[in-house]
Amino acid sequence: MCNHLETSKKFIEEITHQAYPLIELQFIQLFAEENDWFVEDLLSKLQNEFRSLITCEKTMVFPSILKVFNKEKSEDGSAPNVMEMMNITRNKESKMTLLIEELKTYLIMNAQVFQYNELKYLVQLFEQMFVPLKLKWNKMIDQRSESCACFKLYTLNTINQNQL
Amino acid sequence: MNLSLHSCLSCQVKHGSVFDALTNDELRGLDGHKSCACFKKGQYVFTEHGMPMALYCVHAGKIKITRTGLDGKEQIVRLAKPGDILGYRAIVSNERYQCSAVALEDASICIIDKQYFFSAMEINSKFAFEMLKKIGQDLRTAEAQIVSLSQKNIRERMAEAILFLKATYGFETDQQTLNVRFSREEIADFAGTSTESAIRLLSEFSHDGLISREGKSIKVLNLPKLIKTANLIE
Repeated sequence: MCNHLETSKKFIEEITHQAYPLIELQFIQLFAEENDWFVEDLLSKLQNEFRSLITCEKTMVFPSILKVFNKEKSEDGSAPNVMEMMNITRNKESKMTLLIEELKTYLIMNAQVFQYNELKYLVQLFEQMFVPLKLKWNKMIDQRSESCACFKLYTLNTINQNQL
Repeated sequence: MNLSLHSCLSCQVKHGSVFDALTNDELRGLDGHKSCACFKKGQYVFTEHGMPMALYCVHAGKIKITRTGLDGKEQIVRLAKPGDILGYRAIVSNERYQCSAVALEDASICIIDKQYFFSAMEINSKFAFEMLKKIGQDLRTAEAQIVSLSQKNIRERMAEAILFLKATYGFETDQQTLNVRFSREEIADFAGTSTESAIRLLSEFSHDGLISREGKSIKVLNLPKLIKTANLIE
């Protein structure tokens, strides 16, 4: 068992038990309000992307990372391709960042007309909680992939499998 | 930008354009309220965020209407050809230009005084109706683009979900079949969409030769195309 297992567990818990529920709750709050079609459309895209990210991370990414640190393998000896997963995750995060930027532009352009407090809070949650947390998490995985023996072993296994 | 004057009365490109609704007298009047300019390839006709001063009608050449995206890249919104008018949305709504217009090739454009354009709409209801029709058509196109863009997002997420499955569970020995079986409901959750949309998308992907399905098993037939569909940033 790798000594980074506990750090990862803590990270995952913070992401899944604090950040994600707060953002999900804010989506519910926002959809209960009457928004104009442009905001509604952006919010719906963002929420779909967000829910997809949550499901993929909870079902595939996080268990795979824990497996790596736990030095586990599936019954057939195969190992998940963690770096590929992280690449797709980052892609999803980039798309969400673009949607947040669009919401921010909307807020700036309409600042004098309405308050949009709930919308501002959602943007804040993403910018001040979600993005920094995911940056730290991604950085930790990047560092582990370069220096941790578990990751190196797994990456090597994955490459070997792909070459078969 | 070179200047030369084309007479609206004898203009051939006006046929099929909104100006077809003007009477001969009004067309003669229009001649007195416009100037004509030649734009070299790459030259701006008007720029994003500028104040609209006039209505533009393409006499010759092609114009691209562009908008700067969030990433700072230029996005082509639409193309304009002879007979098409430009800049009317900003004039009618009295807002700054949301787009830029750039000559794709050497072009000749008539620049119509906006006050004359407004008075022509007030006087000639047929012309005003043609303008309404034009704005309605633009709205229809914009709505179609919104739908197509949202479909694109769902396609991207579905492709990502399949790539996630591939990265997590890998392939079976044939190096094509995903080493996992999920129900369509579960795949819909991964893609952040409804089960109905997931079923339709999986059928579309099969039809496009990206994957094939047998029961719950998914075979990836064209991995590079699937990666492209997911719009993965390298």
